Amino acid sequence: MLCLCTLLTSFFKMKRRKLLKILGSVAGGAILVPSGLYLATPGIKYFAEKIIYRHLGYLKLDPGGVSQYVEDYFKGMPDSFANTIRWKSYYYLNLKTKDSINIYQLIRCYLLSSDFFQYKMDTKRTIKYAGLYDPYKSPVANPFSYIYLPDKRNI
Amino acid sequence: MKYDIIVVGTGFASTFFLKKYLEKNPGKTVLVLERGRLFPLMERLKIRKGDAATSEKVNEAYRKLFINQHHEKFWKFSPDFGGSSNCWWACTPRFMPSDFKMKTLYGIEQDWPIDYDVLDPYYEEAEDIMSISGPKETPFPRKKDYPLPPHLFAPPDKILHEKYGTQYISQPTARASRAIKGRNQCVASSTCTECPVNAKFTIENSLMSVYENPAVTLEYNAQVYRLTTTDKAATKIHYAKDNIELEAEADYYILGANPFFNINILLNSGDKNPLTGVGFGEQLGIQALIDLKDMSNAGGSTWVNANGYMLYEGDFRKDYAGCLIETNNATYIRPEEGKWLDIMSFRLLFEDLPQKGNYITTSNNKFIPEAVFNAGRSQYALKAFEEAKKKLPGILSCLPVEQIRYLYPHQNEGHIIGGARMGTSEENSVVDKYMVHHQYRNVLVLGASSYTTYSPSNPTLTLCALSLHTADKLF
Repeated sequence: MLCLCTLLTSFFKMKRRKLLKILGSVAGGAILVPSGLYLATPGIKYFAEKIIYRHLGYLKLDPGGVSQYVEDYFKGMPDSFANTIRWKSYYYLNLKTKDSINIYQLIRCYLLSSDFFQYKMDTKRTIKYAGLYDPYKSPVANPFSYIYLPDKRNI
Repeated sequence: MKYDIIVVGTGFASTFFLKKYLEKNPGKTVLVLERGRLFPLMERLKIRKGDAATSEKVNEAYRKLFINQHHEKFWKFSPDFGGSSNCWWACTPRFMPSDFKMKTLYGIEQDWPIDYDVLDPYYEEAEDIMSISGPKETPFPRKKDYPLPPHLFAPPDKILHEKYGTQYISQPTARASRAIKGRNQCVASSTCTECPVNAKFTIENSLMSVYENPAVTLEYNAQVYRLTTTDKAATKIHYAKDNIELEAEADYYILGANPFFNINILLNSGDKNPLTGVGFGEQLGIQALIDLKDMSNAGGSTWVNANGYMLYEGDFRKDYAGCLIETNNATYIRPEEGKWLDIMSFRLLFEDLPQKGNYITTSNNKFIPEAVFNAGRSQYALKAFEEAKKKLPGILSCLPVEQIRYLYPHQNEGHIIGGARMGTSEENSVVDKYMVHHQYRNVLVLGASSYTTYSPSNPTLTLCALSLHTADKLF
């Protein structure tokens, strides 16, 4: 019985020290920048979208789909000061999926929520959002499964 | 009315015991006391998908049924009809013969009072009942083929199998590789808790006939909390149903709940054996993520494609634990261009040891046991993880490995083991080789409660075999 999120969270805890250093730098930077500037800028969804485009720049993404995905993904999460700072930091510090579970989950979940695996990872077509990933509802519950391979073998 | 036997619980241990008991003893009267209700798969799936008109969370009710002060370590089970067959992930390797001989072979803990050869025919019977899918050759001895063919390997599994032979096999599993007896073929959706295609074996989909037997009276919502005992036997069983206190009598009392509740009943019944409740635990599970260079891991046909035994056996078990590798087919995709599926994930299952500081005890509420996990993990298991990190790169040298990453230990393996360990006398154990209580000779304590040591392997198949063995030999 596996909870993927729990496991991944635990992995990224290993990197907490690194992240704390980074956030410490951000805090230091904040002294130099008027705090009002942070409050005036867009919220987490704005930065999450930008992070998706940055990480998946090699794919053609349907812009409306990305926006809808971000809406669904962050549904219920308040645009609090702390959350905004967190996602803004991820963006401006150019963190990668291996640096932060939040970024990893955002990108992983986007790919699983799109029709990317349904169309056999075809990078030439435009990737469309298919609904927030839920293995009990999504057309492709697990892209590693043999049933999505083009060359299904005898079973 | 006095019954021939009263059985507590309807999970694997009780049901496999009852199946054999009823076959051998037609006409005997049986009362089954199940604390939960029948919560059918289709209802649980509706809730899981958000389609049901209820806010009830699937398989969450168990949290309130016992006290756990150790929030970093949790214990999961299903308290309804069918027990943990409702939520298990259906991994069914046998124990290795060495698992029963830890003292003799490695000087660790104590030997079981029963060995692999005695259990072999009951393993076979349990595998037939569950229609296990598995390979022709295994690292543990078997006399005939599994009922169903093995699941498919993914490409890296094939390479590992070519190199290691029977040390790396398609996992024996109760997730069907073919449609059989009302169960469908597994589609590797990795959502086994509630299987969306009803592919895994459950009591509900395969052994309802046991409870439809006219000799059996099944009471739902019947929560057992103690036995009345004399020096040598139990004379009554006490339970609550719909807030009414009830009691019943039988010649034999079969405790087939999980270790928390078996132990709660024993301790509430006056069991003074200092070993009762002591030494419960489970395997230490750690996930290793293996990034591969230009090799996709897609193509497996079930949740765990394979089991690796390369870290399982050897003289090292004198110093540190054996490890069973489960090759998971989970959605650990790599969000890197062109590498999305170029990743394997191993669940490393390390044997742990029974420790005095980990015990089950009673609480102020007679229905609610407490799980105390003060000792935590043994050095025996923790050292094994450190050693595995050193060995794994060499073991995987036949694959194009880019890097191996280890996640923190998982908080739960879904295996609650021990507390009424099996042995040769009251001095070293709570029950004998037939899982009969040393003191109360008409009380049986079934299931993983009785395990002498834990083994790196998943416990369910073995506890089913033990139930069949006991029903066959004692009745």
